[in-house]
Amino acid sequence: MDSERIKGLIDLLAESDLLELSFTEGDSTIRLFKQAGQAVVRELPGESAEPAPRVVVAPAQAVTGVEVKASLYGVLHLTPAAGEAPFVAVGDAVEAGQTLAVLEAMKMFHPVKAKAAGHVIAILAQSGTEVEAGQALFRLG
Amino acid sequence: MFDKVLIANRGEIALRIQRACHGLGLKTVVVHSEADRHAQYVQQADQALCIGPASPTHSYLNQSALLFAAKVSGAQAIHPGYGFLSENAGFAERIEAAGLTFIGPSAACIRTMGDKVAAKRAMREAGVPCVPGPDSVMPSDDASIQAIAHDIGYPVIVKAAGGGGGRGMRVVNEAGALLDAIALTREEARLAFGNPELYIEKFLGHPRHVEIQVLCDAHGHAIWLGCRDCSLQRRHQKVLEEAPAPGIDPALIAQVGERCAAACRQMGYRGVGTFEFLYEDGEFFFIEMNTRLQVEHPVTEMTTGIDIVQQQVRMARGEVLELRQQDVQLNGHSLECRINAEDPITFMPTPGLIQRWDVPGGFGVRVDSHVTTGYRVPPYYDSMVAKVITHGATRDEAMARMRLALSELCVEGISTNIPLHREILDDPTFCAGGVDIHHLERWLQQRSPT
Repeated sequence: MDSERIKGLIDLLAESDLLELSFTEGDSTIRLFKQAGQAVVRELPGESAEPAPRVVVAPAQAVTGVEVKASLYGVLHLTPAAGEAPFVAVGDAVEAGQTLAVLEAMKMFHPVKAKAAGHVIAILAQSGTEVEAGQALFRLG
Repeated sequence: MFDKVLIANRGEIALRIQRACHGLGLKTVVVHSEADRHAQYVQQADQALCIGPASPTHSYLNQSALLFAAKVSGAQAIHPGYGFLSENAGFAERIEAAGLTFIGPSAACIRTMGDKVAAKRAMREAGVPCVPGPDSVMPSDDASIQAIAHDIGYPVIVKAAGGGGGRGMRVVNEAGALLDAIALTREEARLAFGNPELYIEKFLGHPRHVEIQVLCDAHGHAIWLGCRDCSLQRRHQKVLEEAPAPGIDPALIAQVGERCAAACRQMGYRGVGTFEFLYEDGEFFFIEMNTRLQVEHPVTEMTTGIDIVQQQVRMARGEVLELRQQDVQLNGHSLECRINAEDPITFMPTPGLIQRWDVPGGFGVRVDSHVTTGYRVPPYYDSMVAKVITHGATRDEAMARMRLALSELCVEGISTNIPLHREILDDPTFCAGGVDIHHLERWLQQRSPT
């Protein structure tokens, strides 16, 4: 399969609303995947129960609680290690100074801590994804 | 003989190796993670292959993916750079078993030097001076351990045989604390290196870190290329390096350098390598050997005029070393500042988008960097974004050129440690030369007593 042919398939996938494309010709098979857009990710089971504050441009007074933001650009981890239980879940009571998540940047781990006691209203970012400095990660009430 | 090299690394060293290969007329295959896809050096490669997601475990450390990339691209040799798989004997073996060339020493040499006890024994046998203490694994009974530490004299340092690079060690000041320290270090070593073996050495209080660069072919020739002083460290990470080490008698360095070259001949070492020493009160003490290219190799290139990476590739191609020891002439002085994406005060990493990137130039100034304006420093890897290297006829001239170069280096969008380097170059103690490995941490503590 030549590169022009593959490029054609990539364009085809990009223009369609498909997420995956498999194509076989002779001995060769090519499988292409497309990442779901943010709106789609937010509708995945388990997240649907929570508000999607980054998508909805709500008036300020409608949003309650305090946001906990990322101190730096890095990779968010909601669990202490792979396969372990998350630091916190929605509804949990947290104390001031409690670790809610860790941010990984350049081989170093930085804890994300609650500034004041409260309970977790929402978790606003997914584990394992990159988050920007200043991006809201949790809402505490 | 190979004519296509797969570069199994990223960032500035991938670019450095690519330049060496292109300079020798060799084709390059640059493998990259999804996070490094848009880097300029990837675009400049003769061939670029994505080998996995951003996480190093699934890309730059994925041996099967690297071997497969070599197979599909037709590369006959693999250069591991530094870090990642560069000192992994098993990887070197797999490359050779696949009929390809590993650009580095034999797996046996990597394995011997990776075991710090075996390395120390090999060095003693070759007449290289070592830190006082036995070159055998620690006995298991408490009385024998106490006797060893007593013979060495406190303070001692307990080290993991599988450690290195400042990891897996603990200083013990008195006999009462010895056994607890050993139990802790053994457990850490078991977890971190999968090897609980320990050894004990004399702890030196105020040493300098001085290292010797070697270059060897596969035909029994070995030379040494002068020394470097890497004493300016923070948390065992080198910050600023220079060549030669200021204020040490060249005759003494030559004596140690000859021993290193002899040790290489004795163990059949091939390629480039570095013997790391502690230097205290006029004496050298071997600590470990790095069986790979090092970050700070450019300061040696500047003072010898020898392209170390090209030489490394040529040695892997089986060429006979043309240089003889008398051909190695040391000229002037060179400094290297490691520019990191980190806050100059808090040392917090600062990955992100670089909006402006103006690099310095002029006589005696060299910048090794993969960064371009618009480059996004990824959060997944080391924080080093550039090496600024200067050369001068004297140390003072090299320092003056570095001050000028750092004032020209303009980075916007992320914070870097450039201000820290500028302060170091104004520190009278550093400028006088010959600071010990604790100087920078002491100086940082005085600067901000937090």
